[in-house]
Amino acid sequence: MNLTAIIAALQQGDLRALARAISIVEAGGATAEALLDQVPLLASKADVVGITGAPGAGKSSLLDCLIEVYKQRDSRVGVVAVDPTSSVHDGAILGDRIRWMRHACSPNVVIRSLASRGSLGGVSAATAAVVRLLAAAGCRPVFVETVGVGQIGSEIAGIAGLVVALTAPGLGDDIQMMKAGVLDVADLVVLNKADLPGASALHSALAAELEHRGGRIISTNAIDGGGVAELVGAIDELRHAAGRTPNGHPVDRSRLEARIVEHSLALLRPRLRARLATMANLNLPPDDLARILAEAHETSRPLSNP
Amino acid sequence: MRGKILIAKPGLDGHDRGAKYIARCLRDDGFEVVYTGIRRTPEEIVSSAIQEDVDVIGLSILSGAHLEIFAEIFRLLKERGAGDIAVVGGGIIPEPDIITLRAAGVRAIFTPGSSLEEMLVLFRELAGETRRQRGLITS
Ligand SMILES: Nc1nc2c(ncn2[C@@H]2O[C@H](COP(=O)(O)OP(=O)(O)O)[C@@H](O)[C@H]2O)c(=O)[nH]1
Ligand SMILES: [Mg+2]
Repeated sequence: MNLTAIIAALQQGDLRALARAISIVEAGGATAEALLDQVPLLASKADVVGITGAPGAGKSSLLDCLIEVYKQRDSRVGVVAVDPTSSVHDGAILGDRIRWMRHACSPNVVIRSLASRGSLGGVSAATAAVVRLLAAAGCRPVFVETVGVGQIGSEIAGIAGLVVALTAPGLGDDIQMMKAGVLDVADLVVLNKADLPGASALHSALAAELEHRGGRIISTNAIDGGGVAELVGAIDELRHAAGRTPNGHPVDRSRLEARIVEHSLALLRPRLRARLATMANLNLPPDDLARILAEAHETSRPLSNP
Repeated sequence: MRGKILIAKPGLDGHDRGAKYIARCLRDDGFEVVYTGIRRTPEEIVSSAIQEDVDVIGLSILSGAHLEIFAEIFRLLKERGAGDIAVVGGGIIPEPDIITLRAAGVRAIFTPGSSLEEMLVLFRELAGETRRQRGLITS
């Protein structure tokens, strides 16, 4: 099948063509570029919802509840789940799908698992392009579950119009979450596992922290579905009021700045990687390498679309 | 990355220690492994394999119903134009059944006597074959 035929088929909703296109884009290189040139850009980032948070917080379990709600609507729902590639072996176990098997045969649900393949920011290098392909195949919204380790959640802000950050009692990451800057990019904070001891104290602490920022916290229980309706309400509200907080206030400037920086980095990343790949000697001090990359960028042609 | 593999355990019997072990060995050998767990129906396995665009489906089988299960999986793969995905199986499978399954198109059957190395070599070969056919690798 040639690329034009693959794109025509996926736009008709052909899942096999969509899956094939995603593999091509993941493999990268000239074929991937040629394919992406023919795929429309996202009409609105409000159609992309990122779910981030530490491993074990319940991202996949909560997404299972969200899929159940969104698949009843009249468009397909897309899900991209990123799991870490082992730095030693180059392989990965993609284990999120196991929580979504009840949706496996639903014609309205499209799920794709990706390995992070060396990216450290919570998504793989191809994730933004994969999201575009799912959107081109009619998925609204597309949910992206991040790896949830490292500098959580920053790259996802460059892809998703709406970022949901998840935490849970017992992870000990409420303070870390704030330090890591997750609250700067999160539009909604969810305290999952509301059934566990310590949940209400954590809810109050996070609510107090978020109050200054015009942010909002919702408690959920992904096992019995508690709080899911409220979460769906908040997601829909935010999707329809992109650029506004739930109270209707404009998103504060620091959060916008963080998002713009992240988005710019997402655009730059592939170019920097390509430039690095052409350099014979990487045994230079990191500062020197960074300077060389920055200068190379100044003299290079303008960025094409991501 | 050597290729993408879906591991599933169809049938009604309970434990998946073997399937999980194989999934980890494949990961350590450089494969991306979609693990889908126990009690999967052929329909779930085929839909997932297509959406994930895997190169190989590996099925762990203990129950007696394996002949029907493989037949149904092949029927669904063909019906959806995904006959190029290689299918292999592992488990305690009697010799006469192995012959029938191989004749039906199962590319390899691993039994408790198979070595890990032997399995990995086969997964590498099959994944490489599928990926070359699809133009995902050119060598
Ligand atoms: N008690 C309780 N357990 C939960 C809840 N949500 C998820 N879990 C459990 O937490 C574990 C990790 O969930 P998972 O969705 O895989 O987390 P992820 O790593 O963030 O995707 C699983 O054992 C879930 O069953 C919840 O609301 N309450
Ligand atoms: Mg998960």
